Amino acid sequence: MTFTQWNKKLKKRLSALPAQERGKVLAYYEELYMDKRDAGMTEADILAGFSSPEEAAARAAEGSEAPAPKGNAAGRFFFMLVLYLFIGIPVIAAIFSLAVTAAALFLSGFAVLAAGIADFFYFLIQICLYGAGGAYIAHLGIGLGCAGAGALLVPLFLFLTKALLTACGKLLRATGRYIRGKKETV
Amino acid sequence: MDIQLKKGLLDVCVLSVLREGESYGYKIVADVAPYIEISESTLYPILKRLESSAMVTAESRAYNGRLRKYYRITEKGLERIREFIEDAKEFAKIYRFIDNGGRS
Repeated sequence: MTFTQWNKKLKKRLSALPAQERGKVLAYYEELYMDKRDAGMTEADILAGFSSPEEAAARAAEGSEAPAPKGNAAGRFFFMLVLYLFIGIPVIAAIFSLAVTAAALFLSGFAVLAAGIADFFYFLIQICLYGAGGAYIAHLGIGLGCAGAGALLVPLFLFLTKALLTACGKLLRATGRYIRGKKETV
Repeated sequence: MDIQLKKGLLDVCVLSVLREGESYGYKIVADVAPYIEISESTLYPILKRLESSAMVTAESRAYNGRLRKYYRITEKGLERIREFIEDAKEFAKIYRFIDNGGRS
């Protein structure tokens, strides 16, 4: 684990603390990390001294009180139920549909890539067999163009699919945390 | 060692380090560690507690192109050390009594 990864985990575990307090804890560990590095310690040795992010967060939270959630759990559940019926479910359905579309486009990107390569080689064979006609050469170009377009579409739509599915997951987790009346705790 | 007792001892150990002059997280751990077990994660709540009870003050200053937080003991912190030393004399008396099998 690197310090960046350790710090990211710690930050997540501190999410129940007020932003100012969280900033102080992160600054404290960053300062220690820099001081230890200046003293010639390796990243592994430094992190071994810090203990786990979970333990560091638990210690840092000693004496701190997480902000009290507003309203009671039943009220929050009812509020989110109404919100979900009219807004949440349609929004999630829309995001999920977009994700499915993106996944389909991701697959079609592969299809375009494969078709382009097949077209190129098919007409390359045709040229070898029947000579270099204008139409055959044009098809070689079309094949290469399709393969290039497919190669560009695949990573783009892969990224889009991942982003949209992640958005669905985050929305659902945030709702769950709101209903439970707390942020991610230590 | 009892956790509460250790907590109290650590507070005074940190204050004792600061009595010698202002210091910062890394150095405080390095100065205290040879005498009592302490880690970076243990030090944070101690410093927070001492700061909130006005026994130390903290100030961030630029060091080597970054910020470093320096802690300084206050009069209240010095008073806490004096109280501890008085308490320790009492403890020593009680310890001798226990060690002698309940005979003074």
